[in-house]
Amino acid sequence: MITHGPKGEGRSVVLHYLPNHNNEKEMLERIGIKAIGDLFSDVPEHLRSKELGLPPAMSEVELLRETEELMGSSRSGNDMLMFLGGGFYDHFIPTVVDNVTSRSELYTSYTPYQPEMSQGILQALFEYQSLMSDLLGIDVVNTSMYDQQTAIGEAILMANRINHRNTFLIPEHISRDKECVIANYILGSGIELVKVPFQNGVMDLGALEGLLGPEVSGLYIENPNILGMFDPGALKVRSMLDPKMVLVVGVNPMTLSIATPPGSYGADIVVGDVQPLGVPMSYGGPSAGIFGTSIQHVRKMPGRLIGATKDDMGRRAFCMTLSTREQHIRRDRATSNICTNEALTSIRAAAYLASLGKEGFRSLGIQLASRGKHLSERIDSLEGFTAPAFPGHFFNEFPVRSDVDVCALLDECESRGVLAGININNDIPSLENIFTVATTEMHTSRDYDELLKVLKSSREAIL
Amino acid sequence: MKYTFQQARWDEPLLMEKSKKGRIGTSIPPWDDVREISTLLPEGMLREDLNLPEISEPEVVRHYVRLSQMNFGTDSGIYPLGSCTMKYNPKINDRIASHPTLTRMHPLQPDDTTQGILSMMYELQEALSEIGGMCACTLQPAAGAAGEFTGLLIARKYHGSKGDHRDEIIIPDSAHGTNPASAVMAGFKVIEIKSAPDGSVDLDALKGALSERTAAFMITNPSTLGIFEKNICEIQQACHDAGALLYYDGANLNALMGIVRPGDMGFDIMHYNLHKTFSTPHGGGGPGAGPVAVTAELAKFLPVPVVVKEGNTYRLDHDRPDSIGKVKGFYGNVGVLIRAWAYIKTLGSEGLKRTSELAVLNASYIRSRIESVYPVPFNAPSKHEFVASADFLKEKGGSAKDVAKMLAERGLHPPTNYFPLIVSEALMIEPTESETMEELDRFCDALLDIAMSGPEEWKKAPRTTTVARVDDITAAKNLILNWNQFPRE
Repeated sequence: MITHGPKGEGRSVVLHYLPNHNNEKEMLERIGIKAIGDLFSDVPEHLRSKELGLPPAMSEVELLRETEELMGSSRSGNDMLMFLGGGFYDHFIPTVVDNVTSRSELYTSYTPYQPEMSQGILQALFEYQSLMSDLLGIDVVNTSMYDQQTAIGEAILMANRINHRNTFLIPEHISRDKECVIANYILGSGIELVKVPFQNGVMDLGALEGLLGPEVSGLYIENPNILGMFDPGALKVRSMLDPKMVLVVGVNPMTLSIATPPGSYGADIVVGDVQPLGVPMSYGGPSAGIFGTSIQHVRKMPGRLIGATKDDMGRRAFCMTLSTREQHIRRDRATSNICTNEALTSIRAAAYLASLGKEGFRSLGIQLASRGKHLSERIDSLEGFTAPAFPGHFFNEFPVRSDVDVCALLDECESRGVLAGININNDIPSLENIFTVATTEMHTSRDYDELLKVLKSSREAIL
Repeated sequence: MKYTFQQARWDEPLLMEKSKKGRIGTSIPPWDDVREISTLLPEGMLREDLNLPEISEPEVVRHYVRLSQMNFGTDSGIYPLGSCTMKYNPKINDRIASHPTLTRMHPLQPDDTTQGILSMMYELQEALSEIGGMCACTLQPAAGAAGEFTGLLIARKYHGSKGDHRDEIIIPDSAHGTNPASAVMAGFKVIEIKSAPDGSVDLDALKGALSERTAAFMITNPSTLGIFEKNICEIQQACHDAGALLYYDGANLNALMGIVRPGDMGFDIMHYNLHKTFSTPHGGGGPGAGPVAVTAELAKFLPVPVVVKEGNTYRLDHDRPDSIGKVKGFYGNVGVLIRAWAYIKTLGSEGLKRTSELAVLNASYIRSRIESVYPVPFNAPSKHEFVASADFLKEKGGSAKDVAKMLAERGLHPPTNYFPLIVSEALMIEPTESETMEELDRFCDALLDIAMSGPEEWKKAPRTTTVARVDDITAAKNLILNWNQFPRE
């Protein structure tokens, strides 16, 4: 660290990011002004700040020390047994994924407005679009939305652009997080949301039938849903909707290792979150929202797209395309306001899918669903617990019914060092005494033994 | 002038083209109790074919290393994109954000297990409020545009809470495209006003547009031309007299840290672009973060949850009845927020102020060296960026685009061009504080040299980049958006 002169409390100004600090005089002379303050002479005197009241500057050593202290007062999957899901999962991230996305030529670049010198990021994003398009079974995937929550909001707006209808159907069982974000996204659109009831942990198709009508713009269905259950109705809903209605399917992309892609059962738009695919949980972000659609609707879709073309010499090249949909060209008539997105996280997901490959991804998927089944059977064998709480199939996350108060139960488990699951009652008030448990390949058999032991003793402590 | 730059060109195949049956790029942990796949899914839901490439680990690494070598970032060289603030991204920030405790922290962990992260987030909320001269802050929005959307939802709720039906947002014609797009998403009508001939806000036009229907007026200051808004006090007065709120688009905050605070200028709502002003990497398009700060009167409308401090403990406060709700899942792009936290901790009050001073000094330096050749249309002092015109090249058949490609050929990232639209053949130059004087000189020398050269040379450029000029018209006409859409040969 280069420093100059002592400043208050024995501190110095940090200069290692500021190479021209000592060239000020020379540069001012060449500009032809006397003092650096003259560059701000047009800022009215009475508006000028006093010195900001921020904590003193820190050297790298001090900052790392403070960081260690703060991280030390937090816990994570490294030192606490967790079975939390709800859209974010503690999957293993192959070292190679961290490594390749740490290439700073990629991560310190801007949106590739100059394609000639940005072919690397453009190709990497084109590959993400391609991999995700194959995975979802749908023609076109954009380079990212912020997350699944905002992607659903964008999908509902897009459905309205496609058919100009103003009622949109969403599942009764949806996370509060998603519902709150969607509510804000549609606030300016005049769209009304109607909830489709659930029965036995999945969408009630009879009830759906009764809600359909000429004013319905589309339906959002999750497969798997908030409880972790695959919804067999997802395969049937397209045939129930009239051709103009837009079917939006929400997926956990990891399940597509074994589950049929939404494109194959008629999804017009597919949304999801790439987090399970090699993205650190980082307390909720950054991740990236998946957004795919069929080619016929591509001009109505939000977000950035990379296309393949050629350069002047006839060689394969990539560039951003269909920008006329976007805010920097279309302004108030753009398909979305999104500009900065989550490009680097998408590249992470691509590197993850490429690393696992066809066989690895498939076998991991089978393992995860097998683990889910294994763990649910073991929990079901405990007195006072039913798993899964509803009949049907699931992936690595499933609902558990408890005969004691779930809030108290999860607290007891935490006091025994285990985060056993998510109290679904917080999201869906009508579902009482149910929590969801998620497992990943990070868990060992002994972790499952520990969970069972803790569930049992926690329940006994409450009774 | 001689130059030796040559970007890598690898003819690197697509991942799918590298695929060879039987290869794999990672190991899968063992698991004994594997079930028969058909028992794991509902009827009809079993996936038949999975089309993923099969590539070994060394090939995956080599693929991305080669792609990275065919890419240009701020770590490669000067990247003076106007309004994008492509400054150096400190490496310690990445180290802190990839701390193993953070990377495996689940967003639904109880607050008593996340105290350290919550304290960092709280400290960042406080620091951003202090830098902006605001009262309270949310870290939730994922990007600048998401911040605008959040701020405008707050404006909407604020007016609504007073029974005041206001449905218009006023925006200058020089504003970033996200401003009008965000206003429409938040349910407003956009009223665009023309800029004054000097690029500043036309006070009469603003006064003419303000009415009892105006919810807010959105501006950047300095403007996209890099000029400090000389009428800011009158603008503030006029907006507030009309009952409208004043929104600060923080895209250009790098000019003013520690010098003048938006709150002190009378702004009610602002967003920060952490991926610009606060040094978090742009990631080739994202992720970013767009926190929003507001005055005391508007604090109760912020999205839920906000981080609160009670004694020595921190808590996510979800119980805020007047809140607008949520604009993103969970609490924001925490991995990005932590980098900005580290940046502010490293620089402190004086360091941030010095950062803005040197950002302005660097821009002014470039301007002073090139403006006799590339005219700067408005005779006002520049802040962190300025807009020059390459209009004079038109008579020789040249354009701003040609200048951009000639710079690329020399290994210098071009400035933003053709924005703002009010300057013909615009070159919008923002060097940031990170560049040395020598690098600024190299950039200026190149610009001056390009102005002297002739059209035959321009049209061939760039020849030293990975590819020559890219045909973006064909890309839009014959859409190829994934690898299955290449025409069969």
